[in-house]
Amino acid sequence: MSATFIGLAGMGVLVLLILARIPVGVALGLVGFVGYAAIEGWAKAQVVFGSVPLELASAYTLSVLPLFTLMGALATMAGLSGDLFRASNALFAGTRGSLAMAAIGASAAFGAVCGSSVATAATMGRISIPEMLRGGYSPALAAGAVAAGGTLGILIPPSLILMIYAIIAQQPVIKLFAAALVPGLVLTALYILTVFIWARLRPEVAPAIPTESRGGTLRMLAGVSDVAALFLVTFGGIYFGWFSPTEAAAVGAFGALLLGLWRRSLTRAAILSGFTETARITANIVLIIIGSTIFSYFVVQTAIAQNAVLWIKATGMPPLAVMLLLIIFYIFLGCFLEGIGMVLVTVPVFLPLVIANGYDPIWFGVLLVIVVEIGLIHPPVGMNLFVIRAQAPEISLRDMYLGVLPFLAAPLLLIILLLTFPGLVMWLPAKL
Amino acid sequence: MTPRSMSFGTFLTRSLTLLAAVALAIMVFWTIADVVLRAILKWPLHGSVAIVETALVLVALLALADCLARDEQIKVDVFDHMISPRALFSLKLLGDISMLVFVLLLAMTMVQPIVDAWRFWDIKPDIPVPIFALLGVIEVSLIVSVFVLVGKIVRSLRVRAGILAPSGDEP
Repeated sequence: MSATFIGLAGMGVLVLLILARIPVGVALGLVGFVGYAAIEGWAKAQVVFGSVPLELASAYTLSVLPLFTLMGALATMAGLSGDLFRASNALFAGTRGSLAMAAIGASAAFGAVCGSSVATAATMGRISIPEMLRGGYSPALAAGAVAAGGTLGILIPPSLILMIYAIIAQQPVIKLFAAALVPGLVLTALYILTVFIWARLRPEVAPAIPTESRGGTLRMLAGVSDVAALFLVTFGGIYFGWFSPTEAAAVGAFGALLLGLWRRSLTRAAILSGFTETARITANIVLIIIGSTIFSYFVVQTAIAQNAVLWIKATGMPPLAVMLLLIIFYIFLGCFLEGIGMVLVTVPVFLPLVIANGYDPIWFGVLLVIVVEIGLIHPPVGMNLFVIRAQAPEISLRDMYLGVLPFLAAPLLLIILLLTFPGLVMWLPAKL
Repeated sequence: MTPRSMSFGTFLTRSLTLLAAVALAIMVFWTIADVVLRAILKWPLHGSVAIVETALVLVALLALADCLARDEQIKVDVFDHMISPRALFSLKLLGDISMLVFVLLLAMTMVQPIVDAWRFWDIKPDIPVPIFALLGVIEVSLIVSVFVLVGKIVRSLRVRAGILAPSGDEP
């Protein structure tokens, strides 16, 4: 039996196990172990299996994961999202659809201190949806804006998915963060534009709200200057060479802690909860990364990626067609698989193919996050929709699905922009 | 749950998570101290990288058993409402059993690296932390995880058989 055949059989089994509700990390690890053993023998497989946990768990590059996660957890518990929403609302006041735009703007700002999409959607949903419903907004627009805005949490740095991609694809995390910043801002603008067009075409979905005075707007914006300062110090510090990524993550976590204490919004119980929750999230992700690493060792032995590259070269398919096929595949995969799972299962197989077709792995990482974002808001998985459903049970699932549909145009348009102008992604990392 | 009513298993897993949280705090404060001392006094702390790496092992693996007890792993559950409760129970049980096999395999294959690290007395560069101690922490965490998973599987089978009242946590 050839190694490639074993590889293909292993991937088939992997899909079956994942669909059979086996935890993604376990499915990856078990298939990787058995597959590796089938090619290289049990003795070698045991050596690989035994060396992976320490090799990964003590990798200095992985330390950004718990530290940035802690920054997000403390920022969430400190209630920074409420002030961000009010400041963002003051900025858009006077425009029809201002509350929905504020929810998106505040989500982008919150994404700058929190790397999780679900956490961003949950905190923003709790604050902005009741405001929008009180203001007479349609439930579909309210849910759609928060679900879409929540996805910005994983694109605007720090991003949990990008940190995991950096580990799996062995790319510098700081270049990935820099690469995602401009597309994150463009996507924020596209989401706001979606609200603007929707409210123009159907004014009844977003009744006009009284305008804030100039003084009030400035006061609201000044109220979140500390959050802006935290983001600037954390990421500006890396850009100016003051800190390494790990040090910046520690500064960010420590800054979020100080901010919460200074605003008197962090209790001792909340701090403890932030630390223990981060430890559990880290343990969970590290176990999945262990499984994925074992799986990627197996994939390397099968030579599937090299064969796929040769096969595609033989068909004469242009690189753009390959990339479009990958994007369609990822959007389809997003119907069933959660974002982290998508990255861990597919990157070891597809990355060599992407590189062989002349695409930069940093650029691909950002593109991958955008297709993961689409998966976060399109049915049937649409994790953000479920989070909002828990926050606002009065909004029907039908309204939620209808509400996110117009927002799906924004990431699709962004993908077209990235394919047409790769410089949108590559410009900032080139300056580092 | 009050500490009095907490089972020994829950107490153990939560204590390990608390230790992981302490390691995380050390990681944050040590790094901050290093940054501040380097910036102000031009006097960086010796062995910062090794300390962060050591703390990371504790953060990454001590909370594992708690995670497994809370069933927080990522899985595809979109088809749950399309299958019968019996089939769903079987799939959840299969998930727990495969997790047990995976963790057990990890625990077993790590014995040899621990023995080797002990025999050759490998230590981390910069700080005198023996590698076998770090591997030992991972092994302890994996062994506790094995017990958590066995307990979970036994409990769900007993609930299924009607011997125990459901608590809502079992498959």
